[in-house]
Amino acid sequence: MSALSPKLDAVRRAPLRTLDAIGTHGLFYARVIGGIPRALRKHPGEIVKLIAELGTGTGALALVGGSIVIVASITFFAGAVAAAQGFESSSSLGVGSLSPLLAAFFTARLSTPLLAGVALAVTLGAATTSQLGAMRISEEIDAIEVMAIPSLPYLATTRVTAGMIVITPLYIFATLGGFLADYLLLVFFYDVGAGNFSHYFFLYLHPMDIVFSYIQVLGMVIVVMLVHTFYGYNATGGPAGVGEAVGRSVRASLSGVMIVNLLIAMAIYSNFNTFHLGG
Amino acid sequence: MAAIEAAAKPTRELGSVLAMALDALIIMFTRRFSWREAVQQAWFIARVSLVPTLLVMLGFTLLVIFEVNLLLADLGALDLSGGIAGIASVQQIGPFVTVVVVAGAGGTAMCADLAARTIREEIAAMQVLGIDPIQRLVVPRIVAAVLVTLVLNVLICAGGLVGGYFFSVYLQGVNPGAYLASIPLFTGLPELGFSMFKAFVFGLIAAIIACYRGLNVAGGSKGVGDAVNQAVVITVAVLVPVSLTISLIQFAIL
Repeated sequence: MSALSPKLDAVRRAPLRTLDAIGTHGLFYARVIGGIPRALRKHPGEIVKLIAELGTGTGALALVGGSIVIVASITFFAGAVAAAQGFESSSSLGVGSLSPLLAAFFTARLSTPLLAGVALAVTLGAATTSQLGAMRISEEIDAIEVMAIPSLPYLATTRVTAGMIVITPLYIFATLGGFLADYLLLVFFYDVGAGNFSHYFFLYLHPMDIVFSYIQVLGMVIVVMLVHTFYGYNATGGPAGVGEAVGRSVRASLSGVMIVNLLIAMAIYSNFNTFHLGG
Repeated sequence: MAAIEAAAKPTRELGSVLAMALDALIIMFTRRFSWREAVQQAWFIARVSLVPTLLVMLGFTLLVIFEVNLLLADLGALDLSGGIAGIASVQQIGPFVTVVVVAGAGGTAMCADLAARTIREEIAAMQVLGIDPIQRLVVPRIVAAVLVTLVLNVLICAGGLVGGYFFSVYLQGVNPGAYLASIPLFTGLPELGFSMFKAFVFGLIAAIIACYRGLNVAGGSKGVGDAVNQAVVITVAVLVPVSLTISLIQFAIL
């Protein structure tokens, strides 16, 4: 039967394969998270080294200033787009001087967390996959296992932990980049007026919004690091396979990040909406 | 001398990218166009990007519409919700999500494929056989990427409006008639035209960078992974400022 129609057989087995993939991913993530105490106890030096590496990037990316500069510049331009669109739309309704309010709202709640998520997936995440994939292909991971060091906590858990720590400085620069873009664009390009800007901007920039968007970004970085360590740790197929794994992991983590971000935002803002125009 | 060399490296890279783009542009119109490769690549890019496109679009658009509806509800202007959804999905998010997906999904797959061929020395073999890799591989890929980007942009714009409709009407209590009626308030044919133009430029840049990084991969087992990683970082970092520039031009014209 299966010899007669291999294609039909593949279709018949597709649901089982999906189930299998979900199980493999789930088991890997559970083992990575379960390894956190061990990684903190046995490999603190490795975590510190990885924090430095993730923050500054390696190779050509370090030349332009590393992940921090890339993430901040992406959120800078995204904040500028949000400010420009906010000004144009509000001035078409005749309330252009209220645009700092919109800029504060959109930059803090939307453009910074969303674009920071994308930037994290492509900088920290893809670099991690490429690095772990190369280690797997050149059999370094097997060598670590031979030396009786459990490779999963040593390689994957330390990276996830380092990602969760390095996100704090990254997030600060990303947020500042977005706000700086709002100020520069509205005050110098659209002539909103510096006093008007700071009045409306800080009136409607609720401190809790920043905390919430930090929670969003923290949730996203955990997803990004888990997905990317999975694809890197399980890379197969020689040097070409590493490239394949990087591509596949970026696709998976982008989709995952956006959904996680939507769910966290809905959970937070439907219950604690801090925005009130009337004060 | 070494310092000058190091400082000149980025400009040299930029020069090589532009040289390859110029080569591709000339070859596209002067030499035979390989249709078969272009159709295959278009199918390949569409296949790898479709699912990420839908998921990223859902996450992006629905989040923006959700937040904006909270703001509008506070202002008592929920009947403008459709207009904001139009601005969001057609003018800004459509092209933005296209950037992310084209760089993250299409670009990575294309770059990984070309880089694998380069390190297996298939490209060198092609050159020995007298086949120009730019004509045979790069030009069809650029055409395919641009085509798929345009299609994806339409899909994201339409999907955003439809998703926003269900989200606003059924979850946040917006009047369905008001949602539909307010869409054309801010978004018309010129805005759609700019959105498509943005998508065109993004697809072009993403394809050129992906092909360049793929063809110029350094050796070693880390090389291919690094090339794909760099391609996606560079593409996103370049496209976000380009998006701002096109938006500013659009606001100045319209």
